Amino acid sequence: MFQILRLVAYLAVIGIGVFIATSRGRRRRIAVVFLFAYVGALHAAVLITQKEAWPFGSYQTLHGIAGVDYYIWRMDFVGVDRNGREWILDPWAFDSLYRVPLQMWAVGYMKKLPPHEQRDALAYMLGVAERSRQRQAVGRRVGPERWLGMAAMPDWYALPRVQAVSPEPFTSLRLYYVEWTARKRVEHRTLYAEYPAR
Amino acid sequence: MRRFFDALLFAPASRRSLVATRVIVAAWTLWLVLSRPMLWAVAGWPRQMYPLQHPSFLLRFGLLLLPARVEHALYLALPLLLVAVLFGLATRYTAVIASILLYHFAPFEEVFSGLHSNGVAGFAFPTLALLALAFAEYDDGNESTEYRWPVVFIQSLIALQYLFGGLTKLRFTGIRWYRGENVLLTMKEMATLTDAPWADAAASSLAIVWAITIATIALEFLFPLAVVSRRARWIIIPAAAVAVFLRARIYGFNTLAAPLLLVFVNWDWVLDRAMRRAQPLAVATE
Repeated sequence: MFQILRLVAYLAVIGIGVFIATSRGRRRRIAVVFLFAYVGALHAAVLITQKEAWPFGSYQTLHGIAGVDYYIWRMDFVGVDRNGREWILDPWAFDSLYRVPLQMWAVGYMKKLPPHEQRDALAYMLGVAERSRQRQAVGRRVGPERWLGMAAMPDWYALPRVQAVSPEPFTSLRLYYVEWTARKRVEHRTLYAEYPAR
Repeated sequence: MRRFFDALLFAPASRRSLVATRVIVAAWTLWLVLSRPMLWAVAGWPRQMYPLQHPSFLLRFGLLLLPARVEHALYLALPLLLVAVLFGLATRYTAVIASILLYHFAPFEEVFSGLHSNGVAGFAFPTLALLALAFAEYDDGNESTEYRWPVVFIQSLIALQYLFGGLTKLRFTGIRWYRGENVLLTMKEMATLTDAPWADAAASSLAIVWAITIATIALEFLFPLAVVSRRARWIIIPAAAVAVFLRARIYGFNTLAAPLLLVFVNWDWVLDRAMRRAQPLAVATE
């Protein structure tokens, strides 16, 4: 229900726009002012309620309290070639998806799936990673750079890029959960998932 | 109050100022879409990765309704629509359809993790901005009271990104966020998370950290003045451009909307000067 209301909130902007386009004089001016008030109010509502109502956003980044002893984490997606060598994958190795949402999915949702569905998802990801490796191995581009090269718009979250590309096909995919603190900067790495399982 | 809104939204403005805004927004959105060429392919990822337990969420964005091949065709239509908007071809329709397609495709960036971050924020701006461009009036002479409000609407959307960035910090953490110590620790965290080459260097001096903290407060909360005051714009827009550079170097966050700061440029002034310079050249050539 609330999801549909959020859709209606977006469609209402189109509705107000149509009203503006078809009105003249004072009615039109009132509709324009109403459009500003409506969009402003929805942004404010998102801020106050902390509920997602995209495309009305609260633009939250770095809004929490930081600490040098807080544990910070990331997920390393690793391709393994037939010699058993591990290759950390570039944040854009999954081509259509950046590493940030994928690691959020892995930590927040993957383990809630039945084992066979987890396997299917990881198998698909291995296939995508291998296709990207094949492209990169012959000098072709992946991710945002596919069409525009260096001129492409990056992701807003600038993760370090990985340049090394395996010349050998990937035979398995490993996910490593890595955590550390800003003070010690010593990484603790644990195997989180693997496909195919050993 | 009424006088304020009349002056802000309905002051006479030139047609070319509105067209310049349309070109900037359409070109930037085109850049975004062309930089995510495989976004449509998320439609082909395993269904179980989608939040199937929330069917209304999927319905809201029209997800999993169409085969990947159709999604591909729709995504290819987006650049064509944006080129049409850029050149002002049937803007009322092309801009609305482009906005609806952006609304549909944007969640693909984060659909597996539930729109958790600002990842889709890049798409939020054009989804709303294109609607203002769609319903704007373009044929009311060279100067009209109709040309100002769409420009102000788009400028306001950009200002909201800064203002709400600040308000969110107050909402979640309070004024404590803006303590130098917190900003310093944030820099140290980000140095380990992102590609932020200056994070450690900036965090090594409390004076630099406090300077950045004060500049952050000023920029986030004073940015809306750039919408209402031309004088403020002369300070705020260059400051925002510098902040884009520093934000990437210190926190490792790219400000995707940086080129959109161009909508605050006085294009009448720029184009008049450019034409004045071009005229003697043309005379000399004759």
